[in-house]
Amino acid sequence: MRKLVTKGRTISEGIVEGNALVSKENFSFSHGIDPYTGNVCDKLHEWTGENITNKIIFFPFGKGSTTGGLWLLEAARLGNNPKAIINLEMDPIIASGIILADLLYNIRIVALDRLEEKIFDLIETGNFIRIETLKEKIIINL
Amino acid sequence: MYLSDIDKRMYYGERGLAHQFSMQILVRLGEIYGAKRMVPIKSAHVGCVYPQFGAAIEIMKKIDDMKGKFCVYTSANPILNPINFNKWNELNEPLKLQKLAKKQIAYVLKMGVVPVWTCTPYFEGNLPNYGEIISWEESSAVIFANSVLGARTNRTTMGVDIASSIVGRAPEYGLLLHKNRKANISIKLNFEPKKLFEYGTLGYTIGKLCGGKVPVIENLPESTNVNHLKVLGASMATKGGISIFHAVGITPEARTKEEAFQNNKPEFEHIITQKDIKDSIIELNTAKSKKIDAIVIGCPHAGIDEIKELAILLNGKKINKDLYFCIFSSERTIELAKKMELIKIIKKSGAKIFPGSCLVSQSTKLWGWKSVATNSAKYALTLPLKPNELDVYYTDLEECIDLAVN
Repeated sequence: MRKLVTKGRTISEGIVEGNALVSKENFSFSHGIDPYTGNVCDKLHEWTGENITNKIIFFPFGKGSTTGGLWLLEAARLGNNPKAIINLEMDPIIASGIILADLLYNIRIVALDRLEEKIFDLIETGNFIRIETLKEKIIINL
Repeated sequence: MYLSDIDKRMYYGERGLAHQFSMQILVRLGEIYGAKRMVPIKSAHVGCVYPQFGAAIEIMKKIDDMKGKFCVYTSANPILNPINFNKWNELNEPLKLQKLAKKQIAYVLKMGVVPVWTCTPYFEGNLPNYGEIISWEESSAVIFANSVLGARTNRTTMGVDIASSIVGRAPEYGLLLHKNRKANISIKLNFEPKKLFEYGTLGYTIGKLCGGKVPVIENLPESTNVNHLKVLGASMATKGGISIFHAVGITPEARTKEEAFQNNKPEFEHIITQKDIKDSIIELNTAKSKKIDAIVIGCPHAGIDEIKELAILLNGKKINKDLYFCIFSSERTIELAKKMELIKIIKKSGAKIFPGSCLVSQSTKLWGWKSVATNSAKYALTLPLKPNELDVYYTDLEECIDLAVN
């Protein structure tokens, strides 16, 4: 296992492991996922046909409707949320969904942003990774 | 994050559970985004959407159980609601969904919502003043409030907007701060938009070029009116996640170009041509043919002048029996249009008007709809997605009407 230590901002802390799903395209949960299955249903996104449930997902920025937080929250209520969300800069819409999932359903989704951009090149879809957040420091094992 | 005495009392539960729960949400969000303090808000606009989502009902139930009440003027977005249930029966909306929607509506009414059911609350009395802090959902309303009114709001999601309205406060970060409202991209037009459709297409084009940035349009024509700005912002927000734009000489924080840039230099300059607009129209078209099931107008909700234009264009015409012509607007705008005898003309043509509603998240699949025509770039972007999954023929209002009557 290779160990990467990077600076970043912890939005929601924790230790998780799972399969990575990585895209350099921006993504919206609103109309982007089917909350009942976790399937990606945005036909214009490269993840179309993939499933986000229990994955560690990487995409640069959020986009689209202000209802995005609600779509993520609904997926969490049904147990189809990703384990962790990693962005270059996290849209407050997504952070809101993560906060509400914790306060309403006690579901912790690990969330990070402001990582070094090269991380997006080092991790590929399908890699099994482990993430540990320590305030400003993030440890990724792959 | 600094909390005042009143903030602390709410946060630690002295003002009851609803205030405490709301403050927990807001303080956590504020701490992530580096807010130094909480600031008072003057109004809220809440989503009341996706009643089919258990989470949407449960969050309202939780706040209602805790006896939460809105403490500032709070309007609500359109959706399935009491004023149009009968209309949706015509279109076979499932009763189960109607039941859930009624539940959701009962909760927000109990919390004290002003039931305008529109995505254009600024036309319905939720009109914040320049520089006032507000907490709004609905991306098209957020960009309008920030850009055209000069009020200050971040994009909030369901739950956060309610929490803000319960405590009358918002964490001060993002667009609530002057420095984050400065333009960083310059846009020049070498054509003159005239129709609403062209403004919507322009917004999409800008959204495509400067996602997440703050654009300033240097030369919008003098004829630009408030409805043009409404659709311009709506498609910019939907395509590019943009929450504020400036237009030199038109919007309040851009009396001059220098003011919009807060004396900084633009990161990029783009010139938008007629060809860019043509390319955007092609991109927004997802329909394979002009064979359509319905024409849908009014996203964001049609203003009174759009309804007037529709009445003029539909006067004396008959909509084909095998398709629906649907116009979406607010209940109060429709009341006005009735007094102006415009609705009579529209109804005579066979077109239908839906007050306080929106096609997004309705059961268009169950109605058998596969393809629609619209002059709204925002509809052209959202209707191809779940749950509607419609093909969209995107064109101007005149061609929409031609398609409906020939």
